[in-house]
Parts: sequence; structure tokens; C-alpha cells
Amino acid sequence: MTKKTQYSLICIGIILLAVSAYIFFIKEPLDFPNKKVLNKKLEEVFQENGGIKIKQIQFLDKQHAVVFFSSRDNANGTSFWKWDTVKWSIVSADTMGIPKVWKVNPSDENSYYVIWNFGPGNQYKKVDFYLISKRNFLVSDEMDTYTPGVQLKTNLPIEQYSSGVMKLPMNMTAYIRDEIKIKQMNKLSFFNEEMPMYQFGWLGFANNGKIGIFNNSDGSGFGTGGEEGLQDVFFRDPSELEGPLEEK
Amino acid sequence: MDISLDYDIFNNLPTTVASLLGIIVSIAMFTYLFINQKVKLGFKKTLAATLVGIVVFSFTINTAVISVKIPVLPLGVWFLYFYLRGNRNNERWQQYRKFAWLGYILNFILILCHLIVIPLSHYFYPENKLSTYIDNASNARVFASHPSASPAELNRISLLNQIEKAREKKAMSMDWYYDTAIRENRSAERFPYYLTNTKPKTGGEEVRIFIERNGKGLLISTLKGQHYFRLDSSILKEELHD
Repeated sequence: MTKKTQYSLICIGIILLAVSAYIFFIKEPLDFPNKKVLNKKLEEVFQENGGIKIKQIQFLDKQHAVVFFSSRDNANGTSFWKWDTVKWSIVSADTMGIPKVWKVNPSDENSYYVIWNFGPGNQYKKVDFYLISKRNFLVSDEMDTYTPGVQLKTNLPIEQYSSGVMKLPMNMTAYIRDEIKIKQMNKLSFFNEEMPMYQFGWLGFANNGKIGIFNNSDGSGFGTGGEEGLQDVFFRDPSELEGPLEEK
Repeated sequence: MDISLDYDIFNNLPTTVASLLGIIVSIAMFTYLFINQKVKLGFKKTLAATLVGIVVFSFTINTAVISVKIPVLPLGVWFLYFYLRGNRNNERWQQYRKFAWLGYILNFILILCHLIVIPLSHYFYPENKLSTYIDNASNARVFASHPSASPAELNRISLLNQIEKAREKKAMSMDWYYDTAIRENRSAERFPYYLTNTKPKTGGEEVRIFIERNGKGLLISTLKGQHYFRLDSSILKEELHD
């Protein structure tokens, strides 16, 4: 081997090292894909040729973004994008028209977002968003415990924004924070990863006063399987909810 | 199979103390054996033998106070025995035997340290004292966690005055549950307020605190259980709007 080839081999090695170091240690994401690329990717996902329109891009932080779109049959779609070490990739996408909560960093309650897309000209007058924990009790020889019912409510500002993202309100994050802190006391026992003790819920009020889900079309969904942190927000039957129900 | 080191090692001060104590004793015992060897073996090899010896099959006993993993089968020791036996009189096994068994014994030492610390823990973090769970309330606030609650604020002075006086009472879980459940519209949660941003005693357990409707009861949940405290006067005041 000549000196020259040795030098070039060393150079290539250094460059490779630098590139991998850049990828793994400097995780500054590249520019977000432009609308054309987003379009193509979403068409791939929903196996549609054309018809998908990108409506709006919302960044949650440097590495997480939500892209609202509409499909050919005019369903309102939401897609969730994440910077995945080397590229922006799609975590999940659906045209269900139902809100979701994205726990961007599950151990930080301030990174929890509620995300909705009802589309322009939707039939909703008002949409309520809930954090709910069911009342429960446990009696055993050693200990009696009682879990109070919790029902926290906020409005999604759908009059101004038919689609949007919103951080959870202060009282919800306070409740979630205490749960995270209690569970972190147990962080070294690996088998105790429990599901959260609370759920999210929503309730839609139509312009005609009716309560229900009013979508333009039936939706469909797609997930990569890597949707950790994406939590469904279930529609609540009013009879499940407690307390007086203000309809106005 | 289980490596029985997975206690909640650093979750609060008493268990941290127990773990540190266990580690110090372990290091001391290892050092004693290492220095007093007849045939000198390398540090790395003896350490490895000890660590393998720690692996045991254990079963867990759960009581109200503590859950203990009792080591039963010395799997690591067996493994080393089958790995090292063979040549004349099992010479290599004889050399490492002490270290392997030391690993097994360390399991018991760790349990012992945790047991020793329990009374200490009760002394520093008495379970029937409200001050264990609420040591600092300077940033505390209250909000209604159930729609049946009328808006209210924390009466901080009332809370601070009663932290030492509060008495723990038995929780009437089943009664509370059915009191609410049989009501029309399930409209009256017994604990409709939530107290947040308090701090437990340094090194103590994190908690979740609900306040009773009349402001005179606190229901405190920890990872392990629940405590119910009664107060003489309410810690709530009606919300004042500007």
C-alpha cells in the first residue's frame, strides 16, 4: 500500500466518523420537508393519487410537528411528524376528525398537546375537552383506599381555529405532574410501567344543539407502530360525565 | 430469575441510606476476602466471580410494610461451579468458591440493611404526621377537580396552622364511594378539590392530595398507599374575584 492510499483511507475514515458524530450528537433537525414532499408522503400513506391538500403546519418544538391536510373526499386529516435522528418521519396520520393528545416527552407534562382538526365550516358550535379519572375504591386487609372522581374541563377554541394545537391547561398539567412524580419514585423497578390513571375525553355540540360527532366523511387511520406518546381522546357520552352539563 | 438488586434504590432518603450502607458493607467484605487470599487471584476475576454469585432465583414476600425478595436458589454460584470445576480436585472452583458465595450472601446483606433502616424511616418520616407529606406550602394552590365543587381558594394560613395538629383517621373508602355512586347524576364527589405545588419533607415520598368538600379533610395518596387526615377548620375560602 502506498503512502497516498494510506492517507486517503485515513481521510475517508475521519470523514465517516465526523458524519456519524454529526448525525448522533448534533441532533439539530434539517429543514422541514416542503409541501410537495409532504403531499407525496401522505399520498403514499393513504394510497391516494392526488387529492391531498396540505392545509397548515404547526411546530410543537424543534423536533415535532403536526401537519393538517384534507383528503380527496374532503375529510379532515391530521399527521404527526417527528425528527427521527436523520430524517423527518411520519409517526401517525388519520382522517378521523377526532382530537388526539401528543405527549411529546411523556415525563414532562408541559410537553403534552391536544391536537384537533374539524376543518373549516364544521358543524360544531362548541367542543369541550376533558381529563377524567374514574371514582374507585379498594378495601383489603391491609389498607382501604379511595380514588376520588376527577373531571377537568376546558374548551377547544374552535371558533378561531377549526384546526389547531394547544398545551394542556394549568390544572390538568398540575394533576398529571403529581402522577408523574409519584411514579418516578419507582423508576428503578423496570416492570412497573403502568398505564396512566386518567383518560382524555371530548364532547362536541353542534350548531343545532345536538351532541355528537359530526364529520364530513368517514375517516381512516395509519400508524407506524411507533406512536408512543400519542393518546386517543375518546368521545364521551354525556351520561358518562358527572355534574351539571352546561349546554350553552 | 432475578438479580435481586432492584429495590427502589434511590427513591427516598431512607432507602438511599440503606443502599449505601449495603454497598459499603459489600465492598468491605469483598476487600477482606481479597486481601486474605491464600492463592492470589486477580482483582477483575474475583470481582467477576462475586458479581456472578449475586444472581439468584428469588421469591417475593409482600407485606403491608415492605416487599422483600428472598433469595432461594444460588444460580450464579451453580453456574460458576459448573464452569470452573473439572481439573484436579476442582482446584479452580476451590479458589473462586468464597467469592461466588460472597455474591450470594450479599443479597441477604442488602435485605438486612433495608430492614435496619425501616425504624429510622418511621422516625424521620412518621406516616401519621401531615408534616411528612406537606412540609412546604408556599407555592401551593387549590383548584376544583370535580364539577360539583364551587370555586374556592386555598386558605394558606389555616393550612399552615394545622399541619402539626392534623390527625390521621381511617379512610371509609366503601362508604364514600357508595355515598356518591347512589346519588342522582353522581353529582357530589366527596373530595372535589385538589391541592397542588406543596412539597413533602426533604427526601420523603411524592404525593397526590385531594381536599374534602368541607375543606376539613385531606386524602393523601403515595406510591404505596393512602392517608386520610382530619382538620378542625377548613383550609378553603371562597374564591374572590377582582
